[in-house]
Amino acid sequence: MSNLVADSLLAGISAKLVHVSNEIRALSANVQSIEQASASLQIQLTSLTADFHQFVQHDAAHKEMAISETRLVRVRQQLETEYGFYAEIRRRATGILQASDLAIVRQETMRSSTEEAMINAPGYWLAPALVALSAWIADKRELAQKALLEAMRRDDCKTSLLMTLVCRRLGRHDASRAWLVRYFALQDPFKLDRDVIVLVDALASGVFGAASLAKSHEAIAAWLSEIGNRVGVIEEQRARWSAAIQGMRLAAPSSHYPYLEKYSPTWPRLRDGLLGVGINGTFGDKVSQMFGGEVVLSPRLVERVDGLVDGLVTNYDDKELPLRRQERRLELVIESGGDRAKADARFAVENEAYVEQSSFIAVLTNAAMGIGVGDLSRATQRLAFALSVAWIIEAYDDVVADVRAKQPGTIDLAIDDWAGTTTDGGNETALLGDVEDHINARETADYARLNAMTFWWPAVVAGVCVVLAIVNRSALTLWLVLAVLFGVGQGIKYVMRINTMKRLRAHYASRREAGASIVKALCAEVVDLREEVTCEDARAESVRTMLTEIRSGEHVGATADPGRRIVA
Amino acid sequence: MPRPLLRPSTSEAPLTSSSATAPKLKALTGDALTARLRVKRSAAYMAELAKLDAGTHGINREAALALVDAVRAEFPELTMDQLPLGIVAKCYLGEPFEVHILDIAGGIVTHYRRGEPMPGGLEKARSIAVNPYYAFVEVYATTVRAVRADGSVTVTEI
Repeated sequence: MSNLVADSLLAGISAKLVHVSNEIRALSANVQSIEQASASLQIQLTSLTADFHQFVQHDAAHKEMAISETRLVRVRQQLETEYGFYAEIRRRATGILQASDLAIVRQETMRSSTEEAMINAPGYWLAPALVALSAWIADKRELAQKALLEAMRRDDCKTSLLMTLVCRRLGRHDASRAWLVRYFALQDPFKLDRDVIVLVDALASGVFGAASLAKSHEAIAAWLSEIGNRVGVIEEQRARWSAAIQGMRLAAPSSHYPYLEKYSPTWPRLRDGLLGVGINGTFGDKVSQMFGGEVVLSPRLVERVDGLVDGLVTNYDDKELPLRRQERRLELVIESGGDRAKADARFAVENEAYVEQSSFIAVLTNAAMGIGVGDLSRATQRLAFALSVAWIIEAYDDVVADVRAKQPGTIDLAIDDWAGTTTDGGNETALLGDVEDHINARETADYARLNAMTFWWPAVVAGVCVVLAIVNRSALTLWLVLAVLFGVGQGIKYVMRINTMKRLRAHYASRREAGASIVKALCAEVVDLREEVTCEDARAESVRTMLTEIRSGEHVGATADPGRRIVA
Repeated sequence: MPRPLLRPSTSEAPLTSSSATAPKLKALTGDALTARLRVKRSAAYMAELAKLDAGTHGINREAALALVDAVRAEFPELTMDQLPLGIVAKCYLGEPFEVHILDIAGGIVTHYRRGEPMPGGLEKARSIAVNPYYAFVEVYATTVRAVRADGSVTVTEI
């Protein structure tokens, strides 16, 4: 009877234990599922935050664009309102010259037209210059001189330059040279008006005769020498070129290195290094583009001079400069898609082109970079670049050295809690061994912890119960039941331990496999990355060679004078 | 009128100067110092510094001191604190050596293995020193000046 009761009790307890074990397993599964859900939620939340930030940025950029577009229209309207009448007078400059060539406009019409301009534009240098021009054409010497004096009083430099060009156009070589000499005499190479670029343009376009050309070369050489001897001026331009070249780095690397991105703490520096060496290609392409192909100049001298006169009278009026500066800032904000920081960085490089006076080399830098008011011809840009090439090379060298200095020598790798380093991916075997050793050590430690946690107390208690059953026969059944109970408990514990060990073994086997494959992928990427960096870095030397071969004399335009060629 | 950058000024020379045999040079500061340090290095200096990788200076103190003298001769107008802290160059002794340094103050040449950190601020010049396009790197307190084989100088702020 007592045996039957004991059997039934044991069966009941055993069923309950199985039930408890199932419940624990189900609970464990639920916890796992909650963990997964939480991880997934975390990923979604991160993605949502990133999307939100992107939206905020996009919205701000969109608003900035809209505001800039509206302001740009207003600034252009203001330019039109305040200086619109200048445009009318400017058109007359080449108009008068061409009308005089064709002799189809009455001198009286020219005279009244220029006098009207004089009345409509008080204080503007070009109005008396045009009166002088029309008086000259009409052979009214006294009026011409009087008007010319007024034009020189209003703006001596521009008037001298205009007369240099006009005399050259009319074939008055001596007069042209005399005006040019006067123009040079007025200049301080540290404080030049922006219109000096017209002179460079004239050189590049080949409009000067031999005497004027020689004078220009002499003056430019003297300016460059004087500037070179004053500490700080070239440094400033070199810094501008460095900033401009640095600005040519791409926004993202052209190649992808997903494993390094994920498993290398050095990735931000590696990425920076990749973007840095990318500058060589971008800058090299820009230089090749600038100097590639032939610049086609008009075969007629008058057309070249008319282009220069147009440029001189249109682009270099300082009164318009504050509005032109605003206009350019707004244009850059629009070009940068509403990114004000990017636009400000670009304007910081261009800012020098919107100041009234600057050094000759600053003017050359502006022209070579193609920045400032008005479009410069490619020939002018080439000549300005060629004249500045010495400090462009220095600036480029600095950028290249900076990029080289920042290339990380050692690349850190981190997979979970394992960390290793490589320089060129050549230590793959050692890294593989290290990862395996690390995982093995973790596995051994986990097994040891599991063994330490496995307490055999249910078996001990069961043994004690058996001993008590033998000693105390009156409660034999109770002790036996308890002994069986603890024995079964120990059995369940043992089975669970076996399962945990199996899971651990599978987990570490998969970690070993994944670790090895990640290390192999990382080493392959390091090899590729180093090759890419070496290859792009080598381009710096070819770009440098290309720069050192640029000679300013080769970019002085051939003169349109019949039978005469300029040899620089 | 163009003015020479480094012209000893007679008016600024001390009245009791003992520079009858060696004229005293005006100390350079600011932009003038920066510009001076960018001047292309002389052929004699380049030839002397090329001996840095002769493989013997690590033990030959006299030769190392001769290199220090060459550095001081190249920059006669610089004060001791304006001279480079050291010269770092790629080491061609082969693996495991990667770079070597000429310690200007100590007058010694030391070779460093790959990954072995260099003392003071010289470590910052390692990446650029191992680049084959530079003959050597002069390390100053706030700049690193990489010198090409033709003597041209490139400046990196650190």
